Amino acid sequence: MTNELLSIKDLEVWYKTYRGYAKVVNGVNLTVNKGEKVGVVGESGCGKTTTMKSILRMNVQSAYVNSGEILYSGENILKMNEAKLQEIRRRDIAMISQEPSAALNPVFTIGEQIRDVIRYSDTKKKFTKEEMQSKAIDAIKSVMISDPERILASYPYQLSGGMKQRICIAMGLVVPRNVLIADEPGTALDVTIQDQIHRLLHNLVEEKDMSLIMITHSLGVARELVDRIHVMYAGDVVEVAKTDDLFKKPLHPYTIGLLDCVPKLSGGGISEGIYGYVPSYINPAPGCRFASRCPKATQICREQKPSMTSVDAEHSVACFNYQ
Amino acid sequence: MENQGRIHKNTFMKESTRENMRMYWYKFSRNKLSVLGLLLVISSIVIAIFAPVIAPFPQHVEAFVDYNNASLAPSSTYWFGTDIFGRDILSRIIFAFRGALYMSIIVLAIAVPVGTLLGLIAGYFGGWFEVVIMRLTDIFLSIPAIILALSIASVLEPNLTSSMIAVTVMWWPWYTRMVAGMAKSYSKEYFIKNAELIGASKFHILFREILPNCISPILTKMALDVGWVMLIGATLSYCGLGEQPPTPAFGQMISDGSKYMPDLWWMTIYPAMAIAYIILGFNLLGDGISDMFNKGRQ
Repeated sequence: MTNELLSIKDLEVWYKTYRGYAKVVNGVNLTVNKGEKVGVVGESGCGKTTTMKSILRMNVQSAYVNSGEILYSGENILKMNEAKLQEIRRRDIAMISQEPSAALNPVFTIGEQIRDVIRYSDTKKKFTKEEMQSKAIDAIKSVMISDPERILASYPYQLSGGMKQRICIAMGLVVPRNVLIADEPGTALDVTIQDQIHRLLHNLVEEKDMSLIMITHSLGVARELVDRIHVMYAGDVVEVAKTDDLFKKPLHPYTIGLLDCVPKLSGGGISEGIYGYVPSYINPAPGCRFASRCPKATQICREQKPSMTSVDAEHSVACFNYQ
Repeated sequence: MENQGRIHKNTFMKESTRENMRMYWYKFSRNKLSVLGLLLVISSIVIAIFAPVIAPFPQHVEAFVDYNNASLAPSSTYWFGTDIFGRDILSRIIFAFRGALYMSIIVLAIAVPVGTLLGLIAGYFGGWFEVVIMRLTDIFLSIPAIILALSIASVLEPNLTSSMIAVTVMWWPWYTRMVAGMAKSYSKEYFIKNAELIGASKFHILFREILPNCISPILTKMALDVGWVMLIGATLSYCGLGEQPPTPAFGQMISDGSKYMPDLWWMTIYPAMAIAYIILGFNLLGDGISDMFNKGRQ
């Protein structure tokens, strides 16, 4: 692919724990093209956030990258020096966290914090106060908040959760960037607001021609927002497909199980879901990590790790028995 | 927040700051004791600044003897009586305010920034910075403060400067420890991570993100500490290690007077009451400030 912007290759991230190394991210491959919206779907604790945090090297100290590389326009982020990394953080990649209330400094007004983002986006250029103010106002307007002047002058505690999440999005978009990583931006909000936020994010990203990496545990959300979905299970990407393809023709037993979990309006009621739990990351079994929960598991699944097989150009799956 | 609608005007920055100040004052003044503390503190400062004007006998502060008026009980001429050299106790107390306040201010002006800076570095960067700085503070804090100050003050030449050095040396670790704890917990917060994410400089994160969040405990502790520094200063001067005679200092006046207790009680009681006055003032003020900040943040 020619317009590949960000690609993660065989990333392994381990957490150092008292009982040994937890092999949380187990060789993840992921690519994001220019202007593409990519979804990463998986249940809680499957390594989605860890993978995303590795992109900007924001992982906690106990996590370390065992192997793999993360290429951003041809350069390995994991091997960059601090200054180069800071440049990328300032200009190229933005991240929206899942906790809007905690993401804003309680002692500064929203305006001051947005101005900081603008100021750091280009340290050589000196922005005037008016310039920054008008940019901030534009950003706030773009996330559908009325009365931007008042919002800019207020402190985080004066705003609601939905407002704060929109402000976080505004902060991610105030400076034109290439990639926006949204880590479950709707989690802390109620469903109506969640829906608004997702639409907003979708529209803004299209408008500004950015790439989006959307992390979510809901396939429904992913279906509406993204072009291509990576399904993750226990630190592995188990299936990659165009959104429509994935919903029409899910191949991996885990994806099938996930889709089966979505409650249907007609017939069937609530499904039985996927039996069992996510396996322990410390000393995992040698084979496929899903084997213990998989309805189709055979002997080979418990002994060998399946590798990614391309079914067609845009669809690949890591399973021995996907037929 | 009352008057929320009024915060935003064209000059929204100034307007909201003024509004905040008013809110803080309202919260502060609701507790009458803190207002009393503020009055005591302001009066102490006024007394210290205008000492030569206020004191009835400014010349009694220097080397001065008047044996005709020695050891007089409080009267209308000498409100607080005179000491064994015939010097007016009131005038000497008024001048002692100067030394005490001067000492507190200098000590805190050095100990607070140094302690805070080290605390921020230890708390935010962690690793070896933290190990070295925090163990150093532990060492300082493990020595009883007064003994450390006494030994430093006695090694150096006994005067006000060396007692200030002694108190400063024993004072900064408290701020380091307090700020390091806060900085450590803040550095795990999402908003600090976010600042890192937008590529903010280390300087920005330390002084513009973490420090403003720590400012209210620091201010509260400072207000309380002014009184305590004075008390330690008085203790040192009681032991003869602070301001040297004839310049008056509370501790030294009490120590002189204690030899003549209880006959010349005014030589001891009045300086002691002056210390109580000033320390009470700063303590009440400190409590008021801490209440103000705690209630100011919903």
